[in-house]
Amino acid sequence: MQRYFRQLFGFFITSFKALWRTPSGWLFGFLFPVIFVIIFGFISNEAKPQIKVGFVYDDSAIYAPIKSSFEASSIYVVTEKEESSTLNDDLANGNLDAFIQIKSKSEVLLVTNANRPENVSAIKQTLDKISSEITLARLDVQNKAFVVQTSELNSRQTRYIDFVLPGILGYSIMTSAIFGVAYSFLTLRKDNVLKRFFAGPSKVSAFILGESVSRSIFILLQNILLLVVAATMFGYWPRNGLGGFLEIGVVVFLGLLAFLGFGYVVAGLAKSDEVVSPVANLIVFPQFILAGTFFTVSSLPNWLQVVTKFMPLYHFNEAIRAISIDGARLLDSQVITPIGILLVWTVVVYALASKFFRIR
Amino acid sequence: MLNPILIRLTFIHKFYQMPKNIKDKNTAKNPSPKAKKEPSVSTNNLALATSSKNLRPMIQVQNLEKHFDEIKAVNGLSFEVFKGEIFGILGPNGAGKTTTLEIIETILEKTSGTVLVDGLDIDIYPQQVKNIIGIQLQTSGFYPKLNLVESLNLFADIYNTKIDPMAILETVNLNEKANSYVENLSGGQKQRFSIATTLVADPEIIFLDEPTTGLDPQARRNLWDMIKHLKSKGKTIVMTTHYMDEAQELCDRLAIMDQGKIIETSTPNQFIAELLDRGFTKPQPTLRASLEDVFLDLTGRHWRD
Repeated sequence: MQRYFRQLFGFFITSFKALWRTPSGWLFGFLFPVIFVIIFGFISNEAKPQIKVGFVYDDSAIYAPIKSSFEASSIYVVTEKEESSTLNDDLANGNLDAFIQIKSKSEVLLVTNANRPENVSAIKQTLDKISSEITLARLDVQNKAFVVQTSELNSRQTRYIDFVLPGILGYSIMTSAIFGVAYSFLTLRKDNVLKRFFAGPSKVSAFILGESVSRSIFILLQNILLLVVAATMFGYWPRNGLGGFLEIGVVVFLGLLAFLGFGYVVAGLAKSDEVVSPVANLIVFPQFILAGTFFTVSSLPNWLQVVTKFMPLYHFNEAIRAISIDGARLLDSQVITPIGILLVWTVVVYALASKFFRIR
Repeated sequence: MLNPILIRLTFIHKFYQMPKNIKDKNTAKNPSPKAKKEPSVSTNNLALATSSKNLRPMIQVQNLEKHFDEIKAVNGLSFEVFKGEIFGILGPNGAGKTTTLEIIETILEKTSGTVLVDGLDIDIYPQQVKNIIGIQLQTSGFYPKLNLVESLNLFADIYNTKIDPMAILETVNLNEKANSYVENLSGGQKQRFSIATTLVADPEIIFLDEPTTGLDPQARRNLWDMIKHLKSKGKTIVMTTHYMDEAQELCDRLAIMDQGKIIETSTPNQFIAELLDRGFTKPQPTLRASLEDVFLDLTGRHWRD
């Protein structure tokens, strides 16, 4: 046991020293994501995203025409729920900009986010337009089809940076983990370093674990710097403040262990340098595009959404966004469920890694 | 833990009977005159016939085969290496020398045959075997961005031993490079460092795969001294080389291999004696000094970098 831990620690400290002394590792792991964050930080201040409007389902006559008018307009993204309370939560969490509820035959309630007044006037205008269209159609100009009541909710303001930062975090740790491990491992194998280690009484698990933990800590440090930049330059701040940062750190560490495992699998499968990049991209690219880095998975067609549910990056992003946007805690089901799925991936991927492990 | 000890005991028991067999084999194969010539010129050669009581087999290879797809890289090898000797394996490129060594070193799976290292079957006790052997690979890289001391300390962690890194570096004259990264060493320095790493666990058996390839004459001679020093400490050394002068200088016994098979095993002097007996003569008389002697005389014998 003492023997095993001495080896483990030896491999850990070796790997960490080497990472620390390699400038290119810093460049890829830190500078690139920071550039991403800065670009998207500025974009998010400029761009005018769609307004997300929720509808409480109703069977009255005016409901369908109002909803379909909103759906027809390109400024709105429409969702429909049975209960007003769930929409209320969505609005409070910043997942919705407003929701609409039919109060009676001629009364419509509009609940909006008090922090986004610019959306309110747009929605009101749309509602007024629908109202007068229906009124005209009825040929009963005396009575308006419906009147709009408004109410405001002081909800959290979610900006694009709040959404995109967890995505960049996920993308950054996934690429630095997979590519970092795959390339350095291949070099170790090609230069006979592994052969020399395993000619001695080295344990494969001690070696892999030492490497993984050292890389996890190193990449975690880089991403703390990334979060500091995001927090100071763009006011990115998780719902639960410092505690939220800490919880993000835990999820990042767990995510890293999983993604590093993929790196070992790639290194095991790739026989030469030229193969590493395509094989790694086969794993990285679909997740980068589909698993919610830059836009929500819900905007994908249904069958693609099902595909994303199998991607570890999707679950990583879900957990991080639940913590930073919704203010969920580590043990809330919103966070612990994706973490659980990540852990299943970790087990699977390390089993594959040890199967494909080669010293030559 | 009891099993390996038991197995060792069995083999210790066996070797007491073995020398007789070897002697029988030798005399059966080579009729008397050649055998008698040999010991008279021997200074560093293990006198097989006379000191048979000290013969303890450290490596026993039986019918070893290694196939890479259709190619038989090693094709039915059998040989033994005894405690305290320097055993050389010679052969042209592709003869199967490195493959043979790597199988004994437990880093390459064999196709068939048995290999015992200090009485331990490498199939059953690979970990114990790894702990008593030191290995210098023909081409060996080291973990990047580590200096020599750190690299040696890593090996100490792997072998779970205590070392004095500077003392080890001193033996290969690299103490001034202690703080350099391994990748910044010259070819010869890397080779020496590679040998230094074999000493970390103070092994009983040391494998050297072409240890002096690429070294200048000074470094080569100094490494020879180092290898002789290891032998004087009772270590068993198995080495390959393409330099015949090196084999003649260092090796007690030689196996000459080609195409995965051992053609013959003997002592260097006996090999030469046999060749001369077959009527071989050199086309021109040998000079009493070689060009290498001139080179060393002009440039000195101390380590260069």
